[in-house]
Amino acid sequence: MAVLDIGHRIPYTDGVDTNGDQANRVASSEGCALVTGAGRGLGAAIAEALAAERPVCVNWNSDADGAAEVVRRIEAGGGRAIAVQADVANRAAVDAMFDRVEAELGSVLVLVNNAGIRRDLPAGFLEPEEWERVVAVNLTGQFNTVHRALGGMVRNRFGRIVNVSSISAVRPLPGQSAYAAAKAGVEAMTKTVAIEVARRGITVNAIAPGLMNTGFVAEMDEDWSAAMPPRRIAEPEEVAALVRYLVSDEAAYVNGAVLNIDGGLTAGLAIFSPRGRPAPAGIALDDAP
Amino acid sequence: MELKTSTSPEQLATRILEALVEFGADPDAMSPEATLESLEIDSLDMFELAQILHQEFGIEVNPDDFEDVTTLGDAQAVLLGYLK
Repeated sequence: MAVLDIGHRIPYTDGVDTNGDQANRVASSEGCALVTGAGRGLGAAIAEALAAERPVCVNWNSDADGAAEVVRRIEAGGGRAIAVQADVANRAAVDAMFDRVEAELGSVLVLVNNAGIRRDLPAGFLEPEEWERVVAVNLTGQFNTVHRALGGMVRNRFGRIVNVSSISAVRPLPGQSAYAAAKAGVEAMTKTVAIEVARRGITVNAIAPGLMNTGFVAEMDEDWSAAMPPRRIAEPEEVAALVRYLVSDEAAYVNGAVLNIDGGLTAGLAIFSPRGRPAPAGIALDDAP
Repeated sequence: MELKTSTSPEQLATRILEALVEFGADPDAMSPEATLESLEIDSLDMFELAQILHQEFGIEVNPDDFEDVTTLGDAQAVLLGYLK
């Protein structure tokens, strides 16, 4: 074992940033953004919103054509983007994606965890494999990317992480045991990591959208607009605008927050459903005014 | 990334101390007996140190190796042990 001479003032402190705990080493406009599940819907809207500021990796796993179209739109708008396939539940695939993105676009200093799946079934019907897959993608997948991204963010003294949760984390619908549990886990992870890395110029926040005008809602049998306080569901671009704020310099002090963006859906005690079926908040009042 | 076998203990020791100073540790307070707590070095600093050692020397730091580490000397012993 080498004997270390550390009993005197070490000479190499000259030129070393000794007050760098919070001083960003990079401009906040540097680095790239990585958006998971960005081939369609909210992820696509977020990728396009962030592309105005920095290069974007459009992660996808099942929608190659959608991701290619998102890249095409970003490039048509003068931005820079690449589409990279990776199952976020697979740690090796996430590492390979980051390796490629860092080589082609630079450090990932903005990470938006949007990839998610649902398998809504009553708990008694939900097979263990279905539970595990929902948790693996929605919760472990977010941890996998956060785990990989933190090293670069810490070294750069700058980072923005936005994890997409859901109002289901606190107001689940029947059948959402796996999805709601995963999203509640996302919120707990968000808060924990946020306080771990805050002093390195990194913020970690979550957003909890309500219903959005995406493919999922389009496939629903009924129009839920009337159950929403604004009598409409959100456009993905409205939610993407919140993400764009959270990754901005102006949001540097917003950390560890879970921001609902649901038109007020979860603000009230009851959600009125004119059809009398359980509304998204779990309480239905027939013939409500 | 593979371990850079050409790394000398002195090179690694120097880089470790440089990093700790960068994190805010007082160079005048550094001694093998100084506790990491007294130097205001915490787990986040150790995480960043691990990133540095991986990037620059190919060293894979195992956090389990630091369970009994309390002093700077303890930490250096563990880290220099990765060169063996």
